[in-house]
Amino acid sequence: MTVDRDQLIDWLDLEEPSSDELACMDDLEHGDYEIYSERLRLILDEGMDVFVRSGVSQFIAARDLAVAIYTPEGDLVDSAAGAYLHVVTGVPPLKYVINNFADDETVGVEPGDVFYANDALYGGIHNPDQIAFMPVFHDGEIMAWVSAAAHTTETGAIEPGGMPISARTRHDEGMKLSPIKIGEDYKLKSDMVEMQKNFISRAPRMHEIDLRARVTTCDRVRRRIKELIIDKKGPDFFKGLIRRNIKESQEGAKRRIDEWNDGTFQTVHFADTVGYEDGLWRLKAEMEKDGPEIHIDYSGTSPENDGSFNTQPVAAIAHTANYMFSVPFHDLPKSNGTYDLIDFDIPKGSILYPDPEASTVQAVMVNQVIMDSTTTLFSRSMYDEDSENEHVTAPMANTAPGYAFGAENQHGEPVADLMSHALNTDGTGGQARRDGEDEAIFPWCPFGHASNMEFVENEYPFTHQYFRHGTDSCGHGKHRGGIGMQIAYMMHHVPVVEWLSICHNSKLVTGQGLFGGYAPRTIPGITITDSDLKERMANGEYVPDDLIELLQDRTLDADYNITSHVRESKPYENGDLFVGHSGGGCGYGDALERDPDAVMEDIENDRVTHRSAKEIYQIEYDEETLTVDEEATERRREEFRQQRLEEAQSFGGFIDEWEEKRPDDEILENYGSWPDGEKTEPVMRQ
Amino acid sequence: MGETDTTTNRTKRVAEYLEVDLTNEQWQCARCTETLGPANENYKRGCLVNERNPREVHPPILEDEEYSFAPDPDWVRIVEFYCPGCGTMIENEYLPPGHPITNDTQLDLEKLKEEHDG
Repeated sequence: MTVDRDQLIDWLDLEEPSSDELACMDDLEHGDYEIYSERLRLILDEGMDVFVRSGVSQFIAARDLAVAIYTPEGDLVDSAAGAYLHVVTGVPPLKYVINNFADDETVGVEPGDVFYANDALYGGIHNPDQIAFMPVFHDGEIMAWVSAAAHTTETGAIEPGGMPISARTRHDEGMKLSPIKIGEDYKLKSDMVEMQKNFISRAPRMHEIDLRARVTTCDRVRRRIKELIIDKKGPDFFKGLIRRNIKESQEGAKRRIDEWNDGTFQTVHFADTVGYEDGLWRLKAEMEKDGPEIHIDYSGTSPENDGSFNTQPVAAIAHTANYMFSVPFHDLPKSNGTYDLIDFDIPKGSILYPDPEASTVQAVMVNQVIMDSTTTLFSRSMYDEDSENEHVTAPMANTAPGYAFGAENQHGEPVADLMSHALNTDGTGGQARRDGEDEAIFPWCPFGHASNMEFVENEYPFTHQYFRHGTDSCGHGKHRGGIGMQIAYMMHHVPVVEWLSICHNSKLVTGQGLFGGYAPRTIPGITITDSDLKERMANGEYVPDDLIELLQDRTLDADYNITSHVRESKPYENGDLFVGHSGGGCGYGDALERDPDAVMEDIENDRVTHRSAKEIYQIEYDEETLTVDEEATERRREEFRQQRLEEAQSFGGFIDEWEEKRPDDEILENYGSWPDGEKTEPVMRQ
Repeated sequence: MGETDTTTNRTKRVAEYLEVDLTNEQWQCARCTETLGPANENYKRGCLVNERNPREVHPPILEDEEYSFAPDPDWVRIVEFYCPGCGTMIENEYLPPGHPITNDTQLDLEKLKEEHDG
């Protein structure tokens, strides 16, 4: 393997601007940047709309995509997103093309060229995430590059749905393209399109539509930039504009970071699967913050494993963008100028930097812990009583349960997709001044949304039996996390549909609450088969629409299969239910400080249960009228605080007993040495 | 734990329930000003600690199932850290049994003083 992955990481830092570019920036006049940076963003937004209207898969419909512009050297200038990690992971494959192929006489870069990539080894995320690039030329000079990236579900892997849980090496993952030219002279090459469709034989039509959507988007953005900025204002103006955009991004972030408390901050997060089996592993992160500079060290993170839960290092770094570009730097241009301020140490041989032969197809699920960790580290540094603490927050749910299917649909067309409803309904974390948002977000794509259900049912061979609040799914706290949702897909129209579930958080959750808030509950995998559901529907009988009722009352005459949330692909027959659940956000602050009236409102709205009101929030109230007895509640809470002190022990006494404990060896098989997470033996891949 | 009357007005609140007495370089509870020990050490050392079965906080929805919306106590415990003065839960951690406690916040005290006195 020839890819130097340390080089890919280094490419996330800005290239040195030329004196010509700096001079062009200085020549901008008052108002030029303000007007034309906005025009640039509107062009990128238009590209995003074109992408959504041209593509077909659920991720594109949900706006989980990114459209970006880069300098001629490959640095990110700005983006419309969508999924911010896509714009960061666009940098390494683009710089790979610029550094390896631009001067290669068998490849080269000409006006109208189209490049494509989806191999995470070259700086991507995982192979469902695919990116198209085009250069923007003016008078024979490359002025910029534009890209369009999105997750397309099917990849021709060993399981349908593009993220095979059972993958053990990179060879199980399906199509992986190193950066490759697929179009010339503004036309896609037919042989390149055919090659991709051949890889994606489970859903070739969908793949071709999404491929063409990416390229259509690139070309629209390319033309708009050329016509509306370069041709109107001249190439020097454009050079100055994009350089100034990067400068604003970098200096804005620098000023903000400089205000936060200096020090060293640590987090640990734990996950419960390596894909093909349950297994404990940890992410350990230490952040040193000194003035405007940040250094994050992931030493102590568990070693790579022989399953699918590994990630390439660039993808790990890019996942910090999901938090940074949507929370503390949400109002700044999205450039890799921000990454010039942050250095990362990622230990080789860890789950974040495995052998090149490793499967990294679940990289997004691994990097869920990077998102948890980054949120917590930054929030601890930025807490400031003199401010509104607007960005201080506990982590989002960051579960993003991926429910993927493959089948021949009711119209006889082969289809495969990853459903957007569960993805887009994670709860956000409780914040310093307010609760998290309920069923709010795909943490990888803060501006996404679930797709239209009737559209889905028209295209795909199942219906939605229910889609509603996941009561009590939040992390509790003074400001609770947002709740997640519950959903059930019923197979319909066709004899069989194959489903798999890509998610963890069944034995434990990766999130940690903040400042005394609790993490959310875990999520099992549930399927209900051989039921009398369709018979009930045909007879007009009662049909349940709540998971807890289904499970506790066994309302349907059926087989109830309760497993880990991670479920390898399996066929489901007409009338079977595939049940899903998104996660709740982590809680913020001590639950005893929560406003009792807010808890009553939560009960009324099915957000939390009476059990939580009494046992977690310690409230005295009338269950019929939901009227709080304030004095009795205050007494009860004070008694509970006293009870805490009586049941607790000194730190020293606790440690003496605690250090005697450790999980069973069976749980620790993939953890590394206990408790340090060091590699103990080489990974043998099948 | 230390006496609360050593508190000075030269304090900086750095978390929901934590502040630093910059003169004495001590952690203290932001709710009751109880002293929690030297600010150059882990504040958790000055807290009272309770290990909890996660199923007390996240009750199983199904009985006798391996997976049941409740964390598995063989895999993870909740370690709660309380202010010894007022019983406020300053922080908690979800940790596998026996895993080292995290020193989550170690501030640059000289920088804090400079900024406070600035």
